[in-house]
Amino acid sequence: MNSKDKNDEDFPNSSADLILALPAPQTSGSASGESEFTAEDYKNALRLLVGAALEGNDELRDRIIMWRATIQKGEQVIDASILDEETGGSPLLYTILGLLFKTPEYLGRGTSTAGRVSSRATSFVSRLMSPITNSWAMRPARRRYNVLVTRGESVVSSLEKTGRSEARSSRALVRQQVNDEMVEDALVYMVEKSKMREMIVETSAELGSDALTDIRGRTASVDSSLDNIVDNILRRQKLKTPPSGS
Amino acid sequence: MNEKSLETDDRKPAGFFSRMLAFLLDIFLLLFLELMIGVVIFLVLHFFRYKQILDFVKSVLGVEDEFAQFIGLISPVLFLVVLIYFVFFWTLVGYTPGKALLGLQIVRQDGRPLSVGRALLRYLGYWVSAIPLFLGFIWVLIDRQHEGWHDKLANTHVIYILSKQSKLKE
Repeated sequence: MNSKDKNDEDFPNSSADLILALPAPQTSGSASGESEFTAEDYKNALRLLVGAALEGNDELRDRIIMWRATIQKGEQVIDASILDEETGGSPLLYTILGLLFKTPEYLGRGTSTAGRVSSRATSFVSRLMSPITNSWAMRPARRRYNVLVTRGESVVSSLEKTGRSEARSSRALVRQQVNDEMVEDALVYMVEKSKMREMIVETSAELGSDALTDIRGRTASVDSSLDNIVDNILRRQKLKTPPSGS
Repeated sequence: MNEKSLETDDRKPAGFFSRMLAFLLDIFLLLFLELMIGVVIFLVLHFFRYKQILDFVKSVLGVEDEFAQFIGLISPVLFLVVLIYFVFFWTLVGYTPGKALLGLQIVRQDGRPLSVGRALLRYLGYWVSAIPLFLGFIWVLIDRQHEGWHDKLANTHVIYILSKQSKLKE
């Protein structure tokens, strides 16, 4: 294996490096010669998926905001009363639709309520149990519990950190992929489409030719104006027909 | 009569403004060309230590300024460049780049293209026209046939070729 192949297989280890590097297919390892899907491939594929989801979500949100703004410009008062053509099943349909739109609101409200309740319950229980948990007998268990809590917090913190970093690199990866592909596609299109090239050349030539014809026409008209002036100064008659060269 | 003369028989003589503009364009082009040639000559002379040559020019021309000496040295070359420029284009296609841009062509009185001898005569005519305060060039404005002194000397005239182009376009 030469050094180039070796370099191709040297995948970057940090997520920042991965912004600019997609893995090359690995050929070694299996007897049948089929490429293996390594953990790094899985990570990269996941990055692309996450990046696409995040970027797509942002794009969708932006478009919805724009769409809402457009609608609000020409907004009319929506009559929510019962329409004439409604059937018996319509109220159920509208209830379900209303529920769909209200669900995030209810969920948000419910979550915050649940958080508040659980926080109060925890503090109440911890207060209630504090004589036991702080007792001399429970001291070894408490020490173990504190170690576990610290470890759990560090794991969560590490996961959050990884998530943030991966989200950033995934976004960058998707953006780069999209940009590269778009530019490449456009260039390939321009190069392969000979008609496009011909059209550009023809249009440029026509524009140049038109401009030149225009300049020539203008100078010729200045010439005839000058002729008229000279004829007037010299008080001679204008030539009715252009003099022949031969 | 060849094909070219048939094409140009019914052409109108070009006016003063078009011809002057074409001439100015040619002068700009020549200036650029001369500059390039001057730079090349300078580089070559510099390579061969031209100080001795300049000393010789100085003794002949009696000029102290080094730049003037250099110009004096290369002026015969530049004169030749200008001569070749005009004669080459006039005989080959009937127009210089400047004249081509403005749609003008130089032909003989019978419509035929210029020979080398006639082109040389016309170029000599340029000097004849230029010496008396460019009166020979201004004559294009006064003359009914729009001929300058150089045209009269070489029995040539300048015509528009833009009518052919507009016909082709139609």
